[in-house]
Amino acid sequence: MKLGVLVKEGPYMHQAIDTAYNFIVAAMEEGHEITSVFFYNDGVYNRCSTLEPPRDERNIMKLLTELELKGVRLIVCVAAGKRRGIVNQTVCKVEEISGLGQLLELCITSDRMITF
Amino acid sequence: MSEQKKTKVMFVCRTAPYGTIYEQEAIEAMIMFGAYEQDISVSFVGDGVFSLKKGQDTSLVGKKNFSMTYPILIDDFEISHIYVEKESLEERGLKEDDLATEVEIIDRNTLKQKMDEMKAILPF
Amino acid sequence: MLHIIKKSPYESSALSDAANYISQNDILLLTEDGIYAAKKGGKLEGFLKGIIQKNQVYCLLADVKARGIQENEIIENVKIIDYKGFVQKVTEHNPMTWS
Repeated sequence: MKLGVLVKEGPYMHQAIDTAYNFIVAAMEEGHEITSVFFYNDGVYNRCSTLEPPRDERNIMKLLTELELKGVRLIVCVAAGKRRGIVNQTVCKVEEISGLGQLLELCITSDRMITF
Repeated sequence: MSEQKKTKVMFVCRTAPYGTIYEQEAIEAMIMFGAYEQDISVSFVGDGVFSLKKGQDTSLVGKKNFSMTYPILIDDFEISHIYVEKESLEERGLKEDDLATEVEIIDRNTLKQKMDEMKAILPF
Repeated sequence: MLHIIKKSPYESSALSDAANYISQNDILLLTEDGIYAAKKGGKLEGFLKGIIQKNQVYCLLADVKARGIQENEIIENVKIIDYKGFVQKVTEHNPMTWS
């Protein structure tokens, strides 16, 4: 199945990204396709390139980048990002920044859309 | 574009305005989605109904009053439907006259039936 | 529909709001702080049992374990599933997240 993922919370105030990450890993192991992960609201902070957590903590930026290397497309909302200072200079990868139209596209092309 | 090919997406707004940013960024998404000629509806449930309260004046808070956007969502931004859950309004002491815009007030069961028809539900 | 709850029922209306929208064939999944709704002996035990009478209720293993809830502390007939089970439920039902 094609699964689209929307992440609305940042990396620390909520557990959302951790649940999303574990869900995505399990879905891929089960042979499903993750259409894209769209970061909105404070979710855009998950792709901030200057995050530097203590070494003994989970590093969400690295975990997400590993998913990206496995072919998962990560999309950071341009408007939500701009408002929060997640822009070309501070996002993990400039190509990840895109518009809200991509979120609708995800709804259209995914068999299921799940929000974390 | 033919009617049956449109994707049905519903925003489910459950948070009150100003206390968090959810309502504001939900509206921004609604406006963008409207431009793509799909079948987009918006529903207000729980504290989300407070977003539609008329007479909002945010001048002392220093934030933008985005309740002004709701009246033009359907005409200017091509949103198909704005639903408000009847029970949530009643529980919060609100009546149709208290709302900033014309909406479709429907009961829970009817709103659930609409949700069941959706391809995607986006909670805010 | 799959109703996903991720907030504690003691601080959020997520579970009670979702309960208004659970119709026949819908299922409920308790995740993150939502799993506290599955703990025996709380004041909401009767409320969850009412849902269980009509609908399947699941809770996420990782979140149950993380919060120190033992299997024998979980209300009867709440089934424990792992992330793969979570994925399976999403493929079977259209998800809606209540936070």
